[in-house]
Amino acid sequence: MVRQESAALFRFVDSIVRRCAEIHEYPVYAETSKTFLNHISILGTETKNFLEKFPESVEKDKRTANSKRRKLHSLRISWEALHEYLKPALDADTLHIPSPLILALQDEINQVKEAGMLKFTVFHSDRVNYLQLPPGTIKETADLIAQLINGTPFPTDLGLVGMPYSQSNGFFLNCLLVHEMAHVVYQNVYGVDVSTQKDKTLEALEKEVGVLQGRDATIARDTLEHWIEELFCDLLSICLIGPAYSFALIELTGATLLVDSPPTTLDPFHSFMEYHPAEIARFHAHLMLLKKLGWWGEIEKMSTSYVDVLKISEAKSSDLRIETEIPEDVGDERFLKCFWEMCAWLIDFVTAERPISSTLLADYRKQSAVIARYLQEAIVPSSIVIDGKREHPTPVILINAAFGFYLESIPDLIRNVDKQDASSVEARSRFAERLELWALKAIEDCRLLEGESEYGRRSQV
Amino acid sequence: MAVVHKSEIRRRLNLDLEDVESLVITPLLQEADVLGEDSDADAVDLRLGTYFLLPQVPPQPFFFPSRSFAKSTHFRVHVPLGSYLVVPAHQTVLGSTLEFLKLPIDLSGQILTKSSIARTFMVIETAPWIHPCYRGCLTLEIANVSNTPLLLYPGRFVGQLILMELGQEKPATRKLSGSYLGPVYPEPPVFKDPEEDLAIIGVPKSDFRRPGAAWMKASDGK
Repeated sequence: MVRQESAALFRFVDSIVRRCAEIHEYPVYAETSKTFLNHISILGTETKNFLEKFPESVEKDKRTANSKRRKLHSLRISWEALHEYLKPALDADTLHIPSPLILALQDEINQVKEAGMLKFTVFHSDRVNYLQLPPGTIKETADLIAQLINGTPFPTDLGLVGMPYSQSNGFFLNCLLVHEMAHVVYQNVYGVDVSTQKDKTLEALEKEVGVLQGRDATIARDTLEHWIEELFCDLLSICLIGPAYSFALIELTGATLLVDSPPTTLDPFHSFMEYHPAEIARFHAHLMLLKKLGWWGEIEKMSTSYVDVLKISEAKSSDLRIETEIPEDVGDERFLKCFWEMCAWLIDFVTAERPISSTLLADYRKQSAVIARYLQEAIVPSSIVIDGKREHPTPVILINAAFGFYLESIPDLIRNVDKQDASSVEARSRFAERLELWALKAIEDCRLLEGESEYGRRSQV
Repeated sequence: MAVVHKSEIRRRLNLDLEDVESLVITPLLQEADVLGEDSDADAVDLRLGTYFLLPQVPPQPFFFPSRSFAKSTHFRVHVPLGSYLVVPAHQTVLGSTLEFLKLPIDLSGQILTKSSIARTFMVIETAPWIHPCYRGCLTLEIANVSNTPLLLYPGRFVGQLILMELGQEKPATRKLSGSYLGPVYPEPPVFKDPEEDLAIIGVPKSDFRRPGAAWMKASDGK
């Protein structure tokens, strides 16, 4: 019986290993995807070796046979779980992910202290919301398998992030990928620091309401932990790529609905849920950070409802609800106070850990209007001329300038093209798609130009 | 119509976009070599891009140049820098330049196969003319006319851009054309249905003959 069970699992794992090994010339995968698929392949081979010897080990000691067979069952369940994520990884070949943007975001993440070695494999997901993707599960599952068979653990510097398959060549919404990358930074680098501060905040709360016990303590700790991890990722994302991150989140959540509309009981933007703070609170935190970084001065005059969402977030933050369980004795107001205390601390923390470059805003001020002019003329803005001199904007400047153009100036582009109707929704969507291609191409070009100068500098050394 | 000298190309590359004479070529890698004194005085070398459209055998025994058929005859591949694409003998593929161009209103251009590439019997362009105000990466109709498979390495020089001044002194500004607006990858051809084109010159739709009309109806969804 145990031989049959082992053989059945062997066959299942073998089919996965073969699928991972079938990657040759086409389609092309990013190096990080290859690392992931290679790890699955190694884990599969180790599992097969384990299964080959497994029946013998069971037969040797009849007393432990049943518990060992249960181990086999756990192994099967883990491989079935991993199987679910293999196709999303295989679907995300370089034709179906915005590679230049992902590499640019990864470069920014690598600027964070102690996150210099992190790399990211991107998965496709059938979920629309980036924020609900469970890539952590894959890592945990792979490590569980490794534990069961005494195999190779998952690479610690490989993060897994998911994106909706429909956004494969998208640019603007995919700026949200930086938030998912920031989760890996949180888990690998800053989780302990932030958690320590969270404990201090809860201790202060306990001075007011008395020591929380048992389930109450767990709920308070876990809920606050979930909220501040999300908030940390938002704030780090803004430090890394600026207001483009806030705009992408506003687009994803459809929060422009908040503009010119009174709050209603059905309005979801005011509700803190178990795993996420209320959107309006997040946008208020974004606003505070953007002001602190100096970005706000660059964007506050933009004529777009996306900026209006940020503007009204402060006032609307006075009306927040908690729609998940919190300790009864604490009450919404006190618990939200903990959240805002952590928010203030996090803003100081992320800006200290990842300060923005001293020249970024001045360069953005100088280049963004010129980039917009290039985009309006349907030109990839990787080499722009300012005062008779060619300049190559950085990816962060390109991302924000292109996002600003997307929000404010698509009609100007459409009006610049023969026989196009600027009022047509279809035309607006089509030109936005073009704009995304130009922005991606510009980032790709800038990496090439930078690589060339890096190479030049290295050669000189 | 005079061929533009490289010194003039350099001058135009550094003009603000507002200037009607401004020229854009980006990314201009190895600029010191490409635009330097030692390079050809009348041309800019262009590199091969990383995306290709490979022709597929159509479901019917011919290519029907219509709105819907044109898009279904290719599939896209990405060949990253460092990898190569094999073009079998007597086969074709659509590629593009790595460089994105924007021509000013007073210049036309032409892209030619680099002589060293041409001597391997690889032709990169069959519609070489570039109109004033064009913007985009140039789509290359690459054909291997030799008897042996040839390898294409994205990022290598494949073509030469020659620019020429228009005779008219100050051409009027005009709107951008929407058919191939700022392509960054090779794009499949854009056609109207032939009966639409012919109706413009007075050919009645009743006179128009579609090949294999019975099954074309089914496969064209009409």
